[in-house]
Amino acid sequence: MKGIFTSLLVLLSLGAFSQEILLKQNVQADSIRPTRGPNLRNFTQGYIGFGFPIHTNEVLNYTRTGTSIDFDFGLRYKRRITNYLAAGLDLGIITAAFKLKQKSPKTVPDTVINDKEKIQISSLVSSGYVRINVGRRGNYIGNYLDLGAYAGWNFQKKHKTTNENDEGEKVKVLTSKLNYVESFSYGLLARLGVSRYALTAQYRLSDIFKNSYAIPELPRLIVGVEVGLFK
Amino acid sequence: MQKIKLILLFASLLFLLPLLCEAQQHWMVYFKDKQRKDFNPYTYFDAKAIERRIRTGIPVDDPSDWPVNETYVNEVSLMVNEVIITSRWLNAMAVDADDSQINTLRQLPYVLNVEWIEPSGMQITSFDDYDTAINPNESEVLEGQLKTLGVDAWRKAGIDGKGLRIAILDVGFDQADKVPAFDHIRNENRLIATHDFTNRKNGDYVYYGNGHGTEVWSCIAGKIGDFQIGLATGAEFLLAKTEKSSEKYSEELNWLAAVEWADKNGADIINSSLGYTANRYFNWQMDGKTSFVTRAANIAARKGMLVVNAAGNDGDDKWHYIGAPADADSALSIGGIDPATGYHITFSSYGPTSDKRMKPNVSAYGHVIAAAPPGLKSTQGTSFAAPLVAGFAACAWQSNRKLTNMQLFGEIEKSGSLYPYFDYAHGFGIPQADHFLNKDTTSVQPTFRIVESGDSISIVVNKYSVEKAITSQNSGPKTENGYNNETTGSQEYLYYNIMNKAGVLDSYYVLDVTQPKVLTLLKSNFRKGETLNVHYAGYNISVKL
Repeated sequence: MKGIFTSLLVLLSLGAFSQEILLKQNVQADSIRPTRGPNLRNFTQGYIGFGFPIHTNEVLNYTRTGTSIDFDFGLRYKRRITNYLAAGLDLGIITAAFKLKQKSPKTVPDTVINDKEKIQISSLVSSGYVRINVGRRGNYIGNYLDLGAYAGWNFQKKHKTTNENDEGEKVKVLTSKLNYVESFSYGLLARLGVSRYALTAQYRLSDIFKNSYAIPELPRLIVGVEVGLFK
Repeated sequence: MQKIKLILLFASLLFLLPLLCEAQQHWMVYFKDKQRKDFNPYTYFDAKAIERRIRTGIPVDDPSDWPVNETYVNEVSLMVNEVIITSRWLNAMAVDADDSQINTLRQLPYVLNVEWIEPSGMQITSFDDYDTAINPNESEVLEGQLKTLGVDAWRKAGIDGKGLRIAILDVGFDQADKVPAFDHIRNENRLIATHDFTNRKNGDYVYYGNGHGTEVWSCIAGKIGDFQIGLATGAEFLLAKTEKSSEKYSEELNWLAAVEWADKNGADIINSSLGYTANRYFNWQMDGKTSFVTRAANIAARKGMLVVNAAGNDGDDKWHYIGAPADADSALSIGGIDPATGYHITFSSYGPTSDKRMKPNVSAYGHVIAAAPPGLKSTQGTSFAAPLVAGFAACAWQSNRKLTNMQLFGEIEKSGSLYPYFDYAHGFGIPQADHFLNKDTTSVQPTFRIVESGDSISIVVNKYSVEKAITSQNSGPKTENGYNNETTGSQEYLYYNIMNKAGVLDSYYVLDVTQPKVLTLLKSNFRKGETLNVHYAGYNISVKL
């Protein structure tokens, strides 16, 4: 078949074949069964999402609900096992910004009251998951529940404060490489998805702050949404 | 403690989810046997169904038509949540049941097998352009959609599908009881029966929901004043609503129940402008035996009915190929032609089937003018090509009632404008009335020749044909609006394909013809045993390469 196209090209260049091709179909090439696709053996996609820390105990809630946000993006690989079961791996970046309440008595990460204060942690995260699909379907992602676990390296740990000085000027202080923040994190994850859209939940089993510093823990549960990036 | 609780919650979800998925699902319960008992085909079937069986040599009293054992039906009904349908053909019941109920059913001595048939999506194979006005372009389309199928010849012969009964399976027939395009059918009591298979209470009212079926019906038999929209204006009709709403999802079971109902009520032809594709299946499952509706379509054909099905509208998307049941070997699958060009319309799904059988079988306009509740409208989809051919089939069958359904199937293929040439975009082309009305045995005059020189092989069209083609493309039937109301889909273009030793096409092309030497190929580039097939202006040549 390759030869036909070669000869067509040659003849076209010689002016021997100047007719317009209105329709062309190569059945042989189309007959190769694909192995990559949303419900085929292998599938790789991008994803982007965000979530909000949810604290289950308001008394112990040290973050400002709604403005604290978790942003993540990355690549996801899925290996189809059956039409109803798949497993996969994610590799991505998560940036969690915990905006802290400034009410006395304040303990996270210290007792100092600021105008604004946040702890921002960026992590390189890898996760593994098992996907349970609901419903028979063709080459579609379909409806699914992902359950899995993740582990990450907190490669960036920042503490930011904003205060107004006596002259009315804003003073921003950025402290990085925080000693009191753990370098690694791990936890559980779940996703409930329909095609490219998913509701996500992550529960951090590890602590953010090192035990020796005795700082109260920030919310462990993050609930959000995610959009799959694929054709 | 909180951590442990959450871990337990995750674990519980993991184990409970499969159970939740399995609960309350649809199952097909097949029985081991059935008995003739009091079955009397002459009281069960409509007289038309008896007539069809006798005419086509199908046994009038066939075990597949015997009722499902009443005792089995009663017992199973008490053990499940709901009975969806009971199928004589499959000797089975479709039921809604949970796992424990199914486990109990499996233990019954008379149950052969239980198969999970989770409900899923049937896609309407059409889409609208929402243009309801009839402008000059659309008038030309309306005229062309029947002219290409030989409306003048059928009219002259006084053939309009009279005596044929056509069942239409569709998503809904909104206001079809009021649309004036069907006045002639209603006034002559040729609407025999209706049934709503989406209503488990066995309702007969089908004139609600989506108007897709109304438009499809009009492409078979609609008429506004003296203007025909479809060819079979004299036929009788059965209307079956098999879809729940304008949503694109519904169940294959309704389709099966509807074809059994159509058989019982004496249908000769079934028109189905519905198809399953990527929502449920993979391309390689379009093999003529995997999907439920495909198997049902083949059984319907074995009962003597001609099943006409739209090829699908996935030609320009990822799916690309025909859907189910258009993959059934006994279903006449219909591709779409673009009225503006006279060849394949881009969205019309391509063949072949995954086991490399030719599909679609023939083609008709995929852009039509149809009768919708508010008036005539321009609409697109192979949904409308199929009913145009269903109307043609009714006329063809009326012209020769001795044909069996599969003989008619073959004759419709032979009547194609490209026949014996074919490809997987057009099948054998647009069916021609002349094949049935004027069996012309005079040989076609050559319109081109093959010139072999050394390793090269050239296709050279005759001077006359080139002039004719250029004239017709520039100023002939093609109007200033760009529509070609004289086209038969084969007159002005050169079609060629490369066929391998197994008779399967490796590639195929349609070329515009603007000079005598249309194409030169090098023989050394082909594999041994391959054949070059060429069609131009009604003439065909095949050359072994």
